[in-house]
Amino acid sequence: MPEQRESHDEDAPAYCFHCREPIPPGTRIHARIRQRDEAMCCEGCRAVAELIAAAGLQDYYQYRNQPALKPEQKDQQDEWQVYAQSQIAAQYVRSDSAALCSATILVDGIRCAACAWLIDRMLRRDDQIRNVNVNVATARVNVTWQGEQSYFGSVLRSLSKLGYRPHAIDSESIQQQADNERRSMLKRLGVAGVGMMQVMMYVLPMYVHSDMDSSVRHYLQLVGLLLTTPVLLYAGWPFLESAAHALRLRAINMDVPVALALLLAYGVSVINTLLRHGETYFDSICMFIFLLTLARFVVMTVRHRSHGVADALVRIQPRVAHRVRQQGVADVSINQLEINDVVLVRAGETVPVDGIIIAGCSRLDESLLTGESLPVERNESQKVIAGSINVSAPLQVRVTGIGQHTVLSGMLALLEQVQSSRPRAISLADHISRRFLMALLLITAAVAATWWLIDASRVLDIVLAVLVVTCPCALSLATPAVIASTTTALARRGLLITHADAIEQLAHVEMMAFDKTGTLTTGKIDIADIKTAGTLNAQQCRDIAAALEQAVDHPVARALSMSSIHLVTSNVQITAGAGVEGVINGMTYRLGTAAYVHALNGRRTGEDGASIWLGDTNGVLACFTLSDTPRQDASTAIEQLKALNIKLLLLSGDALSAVQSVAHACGIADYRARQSPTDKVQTLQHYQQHSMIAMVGDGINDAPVLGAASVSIAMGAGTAVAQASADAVLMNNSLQTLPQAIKISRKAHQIMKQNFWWAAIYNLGAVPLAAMGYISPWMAAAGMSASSVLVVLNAARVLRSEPTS
Amino acid sequence: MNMIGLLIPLSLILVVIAVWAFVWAVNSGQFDDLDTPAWDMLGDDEDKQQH
Repeated sequence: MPEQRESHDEDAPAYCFHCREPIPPGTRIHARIRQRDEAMCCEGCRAVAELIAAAGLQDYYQYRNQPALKPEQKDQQDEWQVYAQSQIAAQYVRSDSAALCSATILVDGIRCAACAWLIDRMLRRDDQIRNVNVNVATARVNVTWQGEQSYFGSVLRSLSKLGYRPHAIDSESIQQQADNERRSMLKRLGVAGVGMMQVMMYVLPMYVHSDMDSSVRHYLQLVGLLLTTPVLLYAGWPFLESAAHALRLRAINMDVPVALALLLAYGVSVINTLLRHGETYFDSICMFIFLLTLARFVVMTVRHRSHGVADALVRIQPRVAHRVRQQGVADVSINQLEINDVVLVRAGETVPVDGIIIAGCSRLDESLLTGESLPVERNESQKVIAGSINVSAPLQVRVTGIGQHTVLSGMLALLEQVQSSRPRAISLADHISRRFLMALLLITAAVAATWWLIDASRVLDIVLAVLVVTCPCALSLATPAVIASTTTALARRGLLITHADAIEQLAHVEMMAFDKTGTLTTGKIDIADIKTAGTLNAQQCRDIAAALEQAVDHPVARALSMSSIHLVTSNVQITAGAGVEGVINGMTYRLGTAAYVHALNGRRTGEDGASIWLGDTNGVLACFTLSDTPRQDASTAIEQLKALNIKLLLLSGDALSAVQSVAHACGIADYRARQSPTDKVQTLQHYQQHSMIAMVGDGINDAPVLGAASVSIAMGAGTAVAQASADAVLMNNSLQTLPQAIKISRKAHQIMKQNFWWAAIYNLGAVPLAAMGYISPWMAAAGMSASSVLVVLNAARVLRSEPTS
Repeated sequence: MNMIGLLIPLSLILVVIAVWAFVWAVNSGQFDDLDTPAWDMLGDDEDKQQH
């Protein structure tokens, strides 16, 4: 990724120095860094930047190549205090000997190595900390400290002050599994590599000195056998195992010809060594295993980038709930909750369980779960779902579902169910390997039959030579090499591939389905339209509304107060669930629902639930239509996708009118509104009977449909659950990357085909020569290396494909 | 012949040691994170000045 130096230019002050997001108009926040006043977008960024500067770690800004996560602004009390309680800390902290404690923390916002450096330096400033280990790839921080377990709370608080979002994790089984796989693969790779180099060294004298003394020759061959045996049985074991597994299921995968070639070449070499005549192929075997393991290692690295659903759950579900009992409110771990317990959910917190409200009335942001863009009003005796965010007021909730029995868990169960049944384009490698094996067997049979007629005593020798020469090395490198280079090419453009076969699937896509909220739109509420009815113009109405909303903590208020405020409001009265009243320049204004505003002037007009009304004592002044606006590049991206012959579909959980306007704005003719997660899956599966579909989404409610689609892409700004269920993550959130990705994958698919053709031509060309007994072992080895290098170089062409914008 | 009779077993011993060292390094987590260590040397000088 190219290093993006931080711009200090005066002509680009519209972006926050810390998080690189646009600064809202009228904001005047600065932080002093390196004797310069840098512009900041919010108090959160300023606090983090000043903290970094005060610690003398400003170098972070110079070395990072990804912008920082925008810190959350929370005015509630310290949420990390609960982790300092011994019974809660004990769940996450391991107590080692000698009064040392350690814990692994999942940290959102670690984006590049500079983040790791920053976290390491910052935590180590505390004398209690003994060791810090930050892993960028897995977003995990391992901390060891001296003292009490309860210090865990302070560690989390320090991370949060730095602008990151730490999550305590109690189980590491999936990550551990990935670590073990990586380590065992590395060991196999190392053994194969060392073995390959050594065997080459022993074999080379035999190639250069064809008149070598036969006892020396035999000695070198025995040493080669000694080294190749562990390489084949240890480093080559996964291929043998996988081939055996496939054969037991009466299937043929790429490993079957590979294992056949390995075993035959090894068998021939062993027999020839022991009989002291004929050729040995130990060097080819080792090199073949090394190259194959290397290719598999690359593909595994791609797969490990996906952190899985378990990590995603840790990110959305709070680990701690405030349980209400007669003795008062106590913080407990959610594992300790039981059905019918009562929990308190404060404003700004995420609801930890499914339940029914028994006291309080608030707005809940369920957009991640349902796709609804505006927060919904929830009163007593109504249901709340785990994972939704309580926006405005504290609630008391009676628990009805915990753990596996929440709506959220149900959604994940649906995801797992549909993932196993999704239709995929047959992988090119599997397709070819079947044909290759058939062709190989037919040719070998023909060669054997021919030699049977010519000279029956040479049949075995010749057949073995043919089989060894057709060693499918270039063939088995054809796909992994292209996948590796395409992954890099796409990552440079902002699309992170987490499932290696997504590239081939993308090349076959005929239709692309989008979610609305957060995918085609920004997910932020904005004023879409202002209709004025009175004497004031739109800007005046906007100013009055902004001044009134200033006093209110309401998500809609944020949309309105984006304009600068220069009016003074007095006598502010807030009526929950209705609106706000205030006096500006001696006039009384009301802003809120239609009924509330009309009550002030005693008139009635047609009501509209989705709008916010502004009125004074004489009548209605304006009506604000709120919606989340489409992303700036949405219509361009859709246009480009259409040019690539891709059909488009919009699937949303939102109301028809909102979906309709976005569909029109972006130019999508086919749209469905009010779709539940199950509806989305059904609609998608209906279309999928005829065509390959790529699904793009961001919310938890999109997770099942992402899992059901042939190939799926999650937005980088979306939920962790959506990202875990998708094949690729759009890190830069720019929809224009999608048409580029399709183009690149189509090109990659083409290059894969070329590689297969080349490998096939090479193999088929070598067969007649081998069949006539012209190919010596060194020629086989050289030909194999040359064809492999060619395949790898061809794959690298994807990297040079021109960026189209 | 005498020379390679001695040198080749020697080289085999070296290979075994190299593989053992590599396996030890992998098992002790030396290859788990290849991105962060490159940044570790940054800022060390400043630390010295401060203390």
